[in-house]
Amino acid sequence: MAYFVTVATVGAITAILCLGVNISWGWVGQIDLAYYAYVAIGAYGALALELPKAHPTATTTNSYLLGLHWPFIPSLIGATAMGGVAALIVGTIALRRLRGDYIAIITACAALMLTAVLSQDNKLVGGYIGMYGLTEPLNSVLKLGPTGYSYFYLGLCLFALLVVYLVLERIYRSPFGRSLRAVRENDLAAAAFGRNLFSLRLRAYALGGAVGAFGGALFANYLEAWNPASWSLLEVTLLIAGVVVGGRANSRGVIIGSVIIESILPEVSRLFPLLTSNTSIGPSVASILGAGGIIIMLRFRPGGILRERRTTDRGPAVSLPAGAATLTMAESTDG
Amino acid sequence: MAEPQTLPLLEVRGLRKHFGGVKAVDGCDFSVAHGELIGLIGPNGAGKSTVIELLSGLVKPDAGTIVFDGHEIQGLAPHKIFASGLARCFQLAKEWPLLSVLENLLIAIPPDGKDTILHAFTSPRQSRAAEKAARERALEVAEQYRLYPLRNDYAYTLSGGQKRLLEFARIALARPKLALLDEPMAGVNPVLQTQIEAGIRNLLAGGTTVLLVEHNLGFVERLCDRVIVMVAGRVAAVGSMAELRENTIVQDAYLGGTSVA
Repeated sequence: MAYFVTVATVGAITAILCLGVNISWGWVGQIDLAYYAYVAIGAYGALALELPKAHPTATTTNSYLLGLHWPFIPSLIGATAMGGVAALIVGTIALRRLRGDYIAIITACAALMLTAVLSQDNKLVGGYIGMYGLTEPLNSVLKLGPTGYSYFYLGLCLFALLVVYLVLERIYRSPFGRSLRAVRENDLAAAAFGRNLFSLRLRAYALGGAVGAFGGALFANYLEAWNPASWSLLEVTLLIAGVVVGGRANSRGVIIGSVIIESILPEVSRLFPLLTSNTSIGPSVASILGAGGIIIMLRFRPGGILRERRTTDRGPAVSLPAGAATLTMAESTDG
Repeated sequence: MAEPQTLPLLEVRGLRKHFGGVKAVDGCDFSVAHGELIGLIGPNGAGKSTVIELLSGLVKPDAGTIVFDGHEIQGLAPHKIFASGLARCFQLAKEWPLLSVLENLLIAIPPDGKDTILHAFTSPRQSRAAEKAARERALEVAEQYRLYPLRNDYAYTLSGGQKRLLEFARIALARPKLALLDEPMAGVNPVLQTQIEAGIRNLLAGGTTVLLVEHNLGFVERLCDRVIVMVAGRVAAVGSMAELRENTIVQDAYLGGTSVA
């Protein structure tokens, strides 16, 4: 049962991350390979805000940036904001004049640079060793036992997933979301009808970065530590796979896809080592199945398991104002 | 300050755009008066479509000025040009395929800065009222352009003719001061042609000035009092179709019996 709680908690966090990927890939239609950098910024940010300056028992020379020793909730908000601001900066560079494929390259470069800097500099966020030493956020107040606390954190993550889902659904259905989808469907036509492409893409990108950082902060608080090895380009690929398999631009589909790719597949692939003598085959099989999932879905069901839903107008019929005529009537008077 | 009505709505001076060695638009001058329906004709490759692209901001000019409604707009971003009251139709209909027809129409209504992330959460009553008003306007126009029964369909499922009507409905909703129509009659059947003609008259009746790029000269003659003829990136002549028929330059380049390159 404890094992199931672990899988479910990580699953809920990953679903939040997938919802963030869905903003850039599903709503706006651009591949964002820097996404894992925002997840990492959220994770590092949360730890930097929550931890003291350096771990008291640290035997290394590592020290941390900030070390503000904030409580859990404010640091969660702070970390989310950090991801949003970072995305705003990268987005300003990547989105101003570039086409989609170049955006993917620039964002990948930004992410690789960030990883390189963060892992080389021991004074910033602890270099390769990373940051550690957090103990059960909020439990100083709750005073739960280990099992009780793991249930609490699962509940917290599921609640966070629900909040992120509701907030994003609302934005998706708003005029802002509609404008984003118009940009995705045909950006020139959207520009010709008054949409500021750069501003819309940038705002969506920052929103995605903030969601990624929020998920990263939850993840770091769960792991109680974070280091550069925690996250890589492969993880982003799997998040995108979750979105593609589940259903691009359909939040419920994205959550289903995330559960399939990020939770069920790795668990199933754990069984493979039992069948062969190669004990390290599990993660590789998971990656192969994940990548295969993308290819199979794109070939046979490009919309994903749950396709993007068409908005249906069910409001009352509208009658023509007095004096206005349909084009057929105008046609007959034209002769 | 002069009376705005006495100035032309659009004044183009020395407009130039070269693509490598191709002088697509090469020193183009013309003006459009308030409330007129003016034609823009010329052989293929004369630069008509490039002029539309330059006016709507999707392509930046190399040189020249475009004064629209008293302001210079050359080189501005397309969304700023749209906001100043200049909207365009595309030669090939550019609908937003995976949006419903109603959503396609709603996008055409200028959001007036109300399409931010914050607006999705703040003042819900106001936003809902604005959305309701926008929906009613969009559906009225949909009814007018015979798209009402299709309002919940994906735009990509429309026929070619219906997509044309959708383009017109979008322009009508945008209520621009000047509408640029790029070959609205190209590949359109006769029934639809009369509908599109009615759509153009609708735009004019609503107070929109129209610049019409078109190859169907009979149609241009019927609708336009004044016609601009472009040849090789420049304006060769301006006048009524009757006057243009007498013009030898125009005859050689476009109207004459000799075949046109």
